[in-house]
Amino acid sequence: MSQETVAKQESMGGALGLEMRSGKITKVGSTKRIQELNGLLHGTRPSIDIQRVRVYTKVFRETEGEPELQRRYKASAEMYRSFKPVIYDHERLAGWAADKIRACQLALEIHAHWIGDDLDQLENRMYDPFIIPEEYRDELKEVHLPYWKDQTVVALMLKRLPIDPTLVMSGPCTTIENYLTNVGSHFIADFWTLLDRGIVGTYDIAQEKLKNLDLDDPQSFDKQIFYKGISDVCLAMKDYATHYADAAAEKAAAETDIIRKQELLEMEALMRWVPWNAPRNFYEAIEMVWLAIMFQFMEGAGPSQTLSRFDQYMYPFYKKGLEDGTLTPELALEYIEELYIKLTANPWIVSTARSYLVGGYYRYSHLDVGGLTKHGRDASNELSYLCLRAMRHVKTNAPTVSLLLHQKTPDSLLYEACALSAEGMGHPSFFNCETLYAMLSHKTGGLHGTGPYTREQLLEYAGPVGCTETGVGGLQFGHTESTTVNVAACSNMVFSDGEKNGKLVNARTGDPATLKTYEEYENAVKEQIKHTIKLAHIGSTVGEQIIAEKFALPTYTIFSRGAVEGGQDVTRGGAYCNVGPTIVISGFGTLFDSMAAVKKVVYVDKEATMADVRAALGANFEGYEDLRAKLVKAPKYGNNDDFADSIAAEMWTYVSEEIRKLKAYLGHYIDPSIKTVQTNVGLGEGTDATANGRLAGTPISDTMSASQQADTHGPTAAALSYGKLDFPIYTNGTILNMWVSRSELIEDDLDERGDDGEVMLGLPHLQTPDTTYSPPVYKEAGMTNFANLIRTMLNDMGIYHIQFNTVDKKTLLDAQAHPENYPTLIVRVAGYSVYWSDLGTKTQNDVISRTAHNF
Amino acid sequence: MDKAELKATIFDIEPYRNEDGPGMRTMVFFKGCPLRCLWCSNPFGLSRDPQLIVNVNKCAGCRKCAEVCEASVNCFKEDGLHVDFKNCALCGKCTLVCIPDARRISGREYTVSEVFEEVQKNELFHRRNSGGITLSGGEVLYQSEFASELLRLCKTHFIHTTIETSGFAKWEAYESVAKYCDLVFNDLKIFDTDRHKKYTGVGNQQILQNIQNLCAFAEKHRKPKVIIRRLVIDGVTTDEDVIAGAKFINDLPTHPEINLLPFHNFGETKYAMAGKEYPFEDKKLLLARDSLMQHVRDLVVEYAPNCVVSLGGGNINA
Repeated sequence: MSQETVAKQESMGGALGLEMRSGKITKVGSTKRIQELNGLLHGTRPSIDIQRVRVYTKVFRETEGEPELQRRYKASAEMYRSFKPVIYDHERLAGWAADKIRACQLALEIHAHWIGDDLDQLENRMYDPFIIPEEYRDELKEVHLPYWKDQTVVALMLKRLPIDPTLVMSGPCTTIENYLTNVGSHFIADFWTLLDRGIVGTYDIAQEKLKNLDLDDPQSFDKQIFYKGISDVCLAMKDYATHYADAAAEKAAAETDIIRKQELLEMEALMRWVPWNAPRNFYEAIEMVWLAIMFQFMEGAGPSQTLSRFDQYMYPFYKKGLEDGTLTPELALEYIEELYIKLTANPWIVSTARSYLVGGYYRYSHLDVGGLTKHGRDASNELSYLCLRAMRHVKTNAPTVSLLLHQKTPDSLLYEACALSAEGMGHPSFFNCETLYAMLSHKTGGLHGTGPYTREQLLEYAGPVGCTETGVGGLQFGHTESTTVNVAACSNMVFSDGEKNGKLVNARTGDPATLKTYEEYENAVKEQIKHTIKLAHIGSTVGEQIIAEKFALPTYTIFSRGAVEGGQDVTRGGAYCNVGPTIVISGFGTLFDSMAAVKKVVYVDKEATMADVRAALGANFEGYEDLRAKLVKAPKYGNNDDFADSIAAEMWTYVSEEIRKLKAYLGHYIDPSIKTVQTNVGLGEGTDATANGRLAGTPISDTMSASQQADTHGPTAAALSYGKLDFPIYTNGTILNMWVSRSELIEDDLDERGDDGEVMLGLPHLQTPDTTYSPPVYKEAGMTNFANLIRTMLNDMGIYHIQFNTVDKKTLLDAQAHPENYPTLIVRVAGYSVYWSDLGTKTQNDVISRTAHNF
Repeated sequence: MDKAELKATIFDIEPYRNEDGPGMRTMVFFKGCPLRCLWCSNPFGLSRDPQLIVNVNKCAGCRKCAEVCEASVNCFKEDGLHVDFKNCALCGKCTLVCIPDARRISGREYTVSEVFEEVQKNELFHRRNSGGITLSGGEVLYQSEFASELLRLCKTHFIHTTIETSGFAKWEAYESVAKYCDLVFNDLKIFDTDRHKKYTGVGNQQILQNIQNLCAFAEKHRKPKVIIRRLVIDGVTTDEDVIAGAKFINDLPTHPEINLLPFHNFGETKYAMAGKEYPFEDKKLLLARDSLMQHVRDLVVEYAPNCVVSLGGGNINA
């Protein structure tokens, strides 16, 4: 490798990625308008806006001593009223969450404890840099940070936590920080009600309730504050739109181009109507959807504001538009592509430490297609196809497009999704509907109960939230990716008797040499995991209490079905179903393989003792290469080998049950899930050598997938291993990553492009002469086998979710060596698609090291 | 002897293959081949005996293999690992200590029921799109008794069966296998006998006779479907040979499909892994759309008007 290449690799990261991904080369899309907007998106560097910070500091200063909920509601209302409108050329959809495209608001009331330390490096940091004007920086330091730094959830937490905070804040086996810094996140708005009655519908209910309050009733005092606050936030949303209408009118008056003038006048009319009133056509409806997401971006401090079943709630407007001649499929496609650009253009900010792990600015907005109707019929329609096809044209990394696959889903929609896979962008994700419903029907129900959802509610509103967590539109509120339990690190605690660096950090399970049988060893591992789960639970419950007391969310309450009618903020239990804080499991593959290796080498073959393994792990295998080889060669999870898979099944069930026994502060039960979004690299850095032969500091296994390069028997063997597990008991969802070589799906020569071929059944015939997209030549056998692999894994085996990286490994190696040649390469990393050039070198290496089947 | 206990030497079982049969295929590679085609892309299949395979590129340089080897097969010099394949006693000890999996013993004996069990594991995948088993090699007919029993067992479980063969075997052996096949790929590498011998080490009289027998068998029993594969290599394939072959196939009973395969050199690196020299001169990799392929197809279409002509190994419908 040349020196230049090494230097390039070391400087690799979001900063360089942005340099290379100029506006010019990313001008892709189905129409000239979209190409220009896409160019604007990628040509603009992410920046920081402090309008929100100013509002919050001002309102909270003015309202000292008022009820906490009232203060939060006033701040949200003031925020919507005070934001300056921003309208760019070529835009048809209106509304930005900040002072410019790709700008990000700070939620200091949540993030002040870390932003202070990061402020000076924000602009030049290697991953996720943000431009921040000097005067903003000074104002933050002098005015805002001193006010907020002792008020954040983390700051308050440290005053209340009954256990040593270092055990749970980036602790040795668990961390709960994601939960504490994500207030206002992981949510599917009630688009159905919103599109049906507009914001005014909610406002009217609040007014009606307010009028009927009996002030003799002591409980009415809180209700009065609530209803006054909700009413005002509703009006403020209207004011936000009115300001945009005025700005559009002003721009129209000055516009000389007659076509653009007309567009701006239409935008003015649009913003005078929505979000206050119920939309009457596709244009108004898609604007309403965008505003609902954007308001959540503005108020919330976390990610995963979800679009969910877009093809369902938008379809009536699509159909009506085609019937009355106001809409064409091409125009709908253009609106959808503009929505994708808007979603990508709202970055998420994380601390510098976390930017190494979860970099990429990504907000995890899901958009689902397919699934069933509430009566159990296949729900797919032309919009399902258009949403998938739009992504092929516009090639943005947001939203995460997902196919809700059911036995009844037509093959043509699955093939359309597979064709998107073949583009190598990591889109789409594939979800199994029936497993989703099975998970949700036990959500929050604990070990012996069921959740509150009816089958009909699930069929109509269920969809993934965030990465792959289970959600139900409008009916569910709560954080779904709260605390991470690193079970690989837990398993090591057996060898150190719960100690790390000489300090007791987990359970005491005694000297490992005294564990005479595999069963005793297994019980010790379980004891360690159970202890960590308990630590995570204590920490997150304290956080939950603080959030309920002080961090009310009026916007999320307005978008929750029945919350306003019921008179309760969602952070205090106002939603139909309260969920979270959830417990997320990381490192299952490493755990399973470690246990299988110990069983094989120590207890079956008796080629080493537990004392030997302890010594080898302590030395990071230095001087213990022979033992390491034996551990590495033991049976591994992901090869359809029952020696390892039966251990997996046992631990899988045990961990789920331990979590589902626990109750949250609001009274419901805790839900488990299996994830890790890139964090397997960071978690691995802090994890010592493990008994599967993994060296200290290297990545632990990601998602529920087999350990890196351990699944040596091809995709069907890996699938068969995964398919043995019982998915519904992970009531908050699972992620599975797999690789399929792109050359299996399309002809190798990228210069060769086919014609659009036969129009797929279900996809409207599209006339997009200006598009930059031309489809590749597909390999029929490869595509049908790929589609069948997905069907078999999901519909036959009951696996909940699968996502594919379909870029060739050699492409990735080349992209690592020559990043300048691949500025827009997108790969999928555990739940979302990210620009390759935005990833850290360590994460890039981890992506490459995952087994590429058929490579 | 229980036929399920028959043994054969197999060097790989690979599920999820898109070529060499309809749907998703589970490929079984038989070890040992009577031909020595210069272009062979699967040199692990040549010898009937198990053999050591080493991928030097994966070697991490830990030298453990040298420590455990009693025959001193593995030797580290300044430029890295050297392997003396001839002296390997196949004890397998070095494979157990190699952490990056740079080495393995290729080929071991399987019973019919062991292979069948492996194939059965993929039944969920086969049933979704009428996939099945494809026996390849090496030369499957070299171990015909085993192959026949394996395919019989598959047929009793309604699994689609395919073989790929050079056709170089006694007809009785061939027939015992073909009668349990849904699809047979028979290579017709070169039509001219002398040139066939020059490039593959054997003449093709028996192969041509077997192709005739097979087509007659297929006509009588309406099974198996027969596809004649013709490999196209720049500098080896001649127009006369293509035309003569096309005429021959055109007149066969059932007029079998002719599948033209472009030459590839993906097997080249495997020779070094097996301690062998790549015997074939440097040849250009062909793609289906290259002009030579189009030219050969045009000739075949012209001289075999009764036959369906296809290009490439994928997209086989049967």
